[in-house]
Amino acid sequence: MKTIFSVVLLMGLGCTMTSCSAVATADAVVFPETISLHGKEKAIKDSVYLKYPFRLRLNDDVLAVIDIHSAVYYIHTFDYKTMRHKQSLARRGEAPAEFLSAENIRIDRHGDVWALDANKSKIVKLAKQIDEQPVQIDLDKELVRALDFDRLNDSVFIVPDYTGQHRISFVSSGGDILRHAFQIPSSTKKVSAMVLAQAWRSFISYNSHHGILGMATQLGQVLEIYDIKRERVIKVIGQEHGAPHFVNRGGYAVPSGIMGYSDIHVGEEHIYALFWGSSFDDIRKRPEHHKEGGRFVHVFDLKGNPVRQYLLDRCITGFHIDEERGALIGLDVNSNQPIVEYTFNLD
Amino acid sequence: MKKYLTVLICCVAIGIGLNVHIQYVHDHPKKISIALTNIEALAQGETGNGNCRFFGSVDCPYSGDKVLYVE
Repeated sequence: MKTIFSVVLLMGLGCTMTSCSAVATADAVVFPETISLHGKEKAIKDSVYLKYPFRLRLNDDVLAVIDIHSAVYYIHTFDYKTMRHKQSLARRGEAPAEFLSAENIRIDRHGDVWALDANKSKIVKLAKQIDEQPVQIDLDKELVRALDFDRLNDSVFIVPDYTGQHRISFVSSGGDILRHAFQIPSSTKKVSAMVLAQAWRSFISYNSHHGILGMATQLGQVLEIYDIKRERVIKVIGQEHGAPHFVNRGGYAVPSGIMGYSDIHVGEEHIYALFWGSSFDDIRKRPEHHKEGGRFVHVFDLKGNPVRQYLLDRCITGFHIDEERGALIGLDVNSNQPIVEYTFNLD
Repeated sequence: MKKYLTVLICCVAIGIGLNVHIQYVHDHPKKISIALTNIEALAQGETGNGNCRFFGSVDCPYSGDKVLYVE
């Protein structure tokens, strides 16, 4: 009788242990430490309404912010010291010099602001003066909706898109594809490349000093690290447990998992990625209670080892990282004063 | 002793049943999600850009708009 008793007890324990380990391994990454940060609001002095600020870059004292749902201008610049409005750029409209969308901005070493208009399939160097003409680069027609961009050097851009045949393309300053590199790190083989590319929609950041490119999935928790100079994969973090969940509905990827990463910055020694973690089920059920943005900043070293995560006191949609100063400037889309500065100490 | 054994077997059976259920929900979130989606779609009606709702930062696969979620 005792033997039967013990066997039954062991079976029960065994089943419970299996279930716990399945739940425990659901986390894609475990960080050695979590540090809470409290932000300081940087109030905009002038009446500039930002409906959905999503990207920002700081160069010297000029802060450029993209509002992806703007009614008139997509980009606004501010003096970061005084928080006075300087300029509004990238007017919304269908005229040749106007924009139909703004995905991201980059500021080059000359201080010029570059923006990607995915709907017009253009990368534009914005004019600094009113009498100046913007430089417009029509992207190669082989690219299906450029999703993000960064500068490899003065004459080449890195662009991911929806074709799904390759992870990224290198595009010349004339807009032509020079070559492609890498593949979407998915084990799913049953769906078309374009559906896979929609599900694996990622944001990119490239650091030309060491040649590391980071890619972070918006609809999952995967972070890819590539060495562009040697054209090799360094690491894919969260490939198994963080892969985007989606439903293929008539040739379109409908996200069904989580809102994952929404911004990434490859610094000199670390990679920073802004993580949301909100499930689409929760968002669908109660959209009015949902706060846009993420409170987690995941920090990895350049080999992809988790270093720490920062827990912010508010949800942000995009960030600028200043490693030298130990500062993170975030965009709180849920606030009327969306620009928030955090300070951190990277040992 | 028989009584204790029966109670123990019942507890273990309930435990196994719960485990199987949790595992199913964990592995098949899509089925539940689709069911909810259908109910909500009936309640809200369709929007102009396919089934893309509100504004946000998710790319609507049907229109390219930035939306809160896609159904």
